Amino acid sequence: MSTQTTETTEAPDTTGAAQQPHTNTAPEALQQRARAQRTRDRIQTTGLFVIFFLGFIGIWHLATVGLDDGGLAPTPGATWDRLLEMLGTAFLLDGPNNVGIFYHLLASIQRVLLGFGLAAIIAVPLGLLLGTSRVIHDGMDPFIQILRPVSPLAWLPLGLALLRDSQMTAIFVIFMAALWPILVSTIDGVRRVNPLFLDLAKSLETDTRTRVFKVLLPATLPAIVTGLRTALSTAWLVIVAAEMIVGGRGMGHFVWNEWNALNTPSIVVAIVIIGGVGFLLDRSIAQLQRLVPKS
Amino acid sequence: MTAETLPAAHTSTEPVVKLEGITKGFPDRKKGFQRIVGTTDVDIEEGEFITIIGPSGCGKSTILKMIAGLESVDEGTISLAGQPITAPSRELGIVFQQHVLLPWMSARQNVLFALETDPHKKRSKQELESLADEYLQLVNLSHAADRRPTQLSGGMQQRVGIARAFALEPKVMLLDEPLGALDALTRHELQLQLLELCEQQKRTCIMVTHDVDEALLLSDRILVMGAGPNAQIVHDMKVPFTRPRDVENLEQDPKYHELRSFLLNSLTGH
Repeated sequence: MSTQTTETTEAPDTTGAAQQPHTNTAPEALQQRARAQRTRDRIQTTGLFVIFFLGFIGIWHLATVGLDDGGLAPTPGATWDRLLEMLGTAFLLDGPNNVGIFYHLLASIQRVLLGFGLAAIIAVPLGLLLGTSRVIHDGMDPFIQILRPVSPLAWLPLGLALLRDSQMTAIFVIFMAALWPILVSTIDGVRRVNPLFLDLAKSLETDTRTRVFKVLLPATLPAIVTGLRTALSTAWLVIVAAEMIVGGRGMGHFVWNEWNALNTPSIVVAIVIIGGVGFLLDRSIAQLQRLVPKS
Repeated sequence: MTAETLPAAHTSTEPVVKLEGITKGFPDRKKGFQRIVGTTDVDIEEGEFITIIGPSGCGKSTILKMIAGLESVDEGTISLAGQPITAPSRELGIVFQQHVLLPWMSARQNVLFALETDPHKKRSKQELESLADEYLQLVNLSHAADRRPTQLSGGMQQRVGIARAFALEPKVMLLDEPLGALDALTRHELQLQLLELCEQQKRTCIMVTHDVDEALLLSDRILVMGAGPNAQIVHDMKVPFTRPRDVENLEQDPKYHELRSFLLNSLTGH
């Protein structure tokens, strides 16, 4: 008892010497109210998502179960079974016709990243050049304007004829899909660089290398990353269609193969996987976008 | 004005900057070449703070850009220490109207960038860093040196720009409405800081402004431009106040009010 009393009398002495610092922190009650509001919002969104999801499954179930179509329409139950089965055999590698979904996915991602990477390597420097020089740009512009609206798939037969290789052709098609968004966005980005940055660089008598790498490129980076983001989503859209035609391995080939086998639940599973991976690819570039300071 | 308070007399008679009948214009399809702005001959002495003042759109910024070598001169010549100016040079330090700080670099890195890119002088990293810090200190920004431009207020951004231009230690400072984009309070604060800095550094400065008080406070000489098109210098006025200057003393001086109304009248065309 006696020790406790000495402690309590000592306490104000030690803390009382240090003055309460002035802070911007709101009173505890206000903070609690804000936290409660956030929790309520989160519960509401989650609840709504669950309701929508169950509603979706319900409607899907009612629409497909007991349909007299020879079992073509995928039911939620069959799709779920198929999903588990496909995940179970995801890493299967047993001859050319028996390949797990993981290897199809890997093949698609590889093609997309290769074609996309090649496009970036060419489009970024070209975009910097065309954005800087009005004369070269105006000479090239008709080509860009005519080729840009062409579906990348239109290049596919030409690719097969000239490259004589389905793998190379798929990469080429992805290259054509990714090239234009990066090129156009880079050109636009260079043009929107604050002209005073270039005046500053000139007044400092900087050489061309410094001007390009220390001023122009960093100032254009946000626009370049935006272009890369559009290009990667476009490439991911195009790869499925391209693989349906070129065959081999890949998500597009898988979907088409399952259609030939009239195995529609597999197609639904594949669609969900394609969507999920597309989302992840987009997120990864969005993260990159965050790192780049806006100019 | 007594002899002791006058700034040290310039020993060289050669002007630092010489404008010789310069004009700027544009080709017009119907009327041929159209002049938009021009000057008579102007000699700017070493250490002089000269202000070009004029109504908006008269082309005063164009004149400054021509001196900076960022705009071509259509007729006449501009020379720096006897040599014609044909391209931008590090001898001409520019403070722009908006802050032109690279957003991916801190305040310190922005000043350092300007110093490091010097193709003429090779200096050690250490030397450049202490130089950058010294000039940031001069504009009282040492505490914010590591902040990015977006983390600085408008006035601080402009102070970094001023520090960067001074750090180049150029023959001539060119200030293009350096405080034009700031709010009234910050503007006044920075005018005083700029006054102190200029009196301490004694660099030749050419400033463009449309603020009469700013011009009177800072300048040794004011060139008043008429209205465009083809605006010309209509007055070349000495500012007789002794240095170092003090705003409060200045505002009590009847001469200050006389010059102020003269400038206002000539700007508004009365």
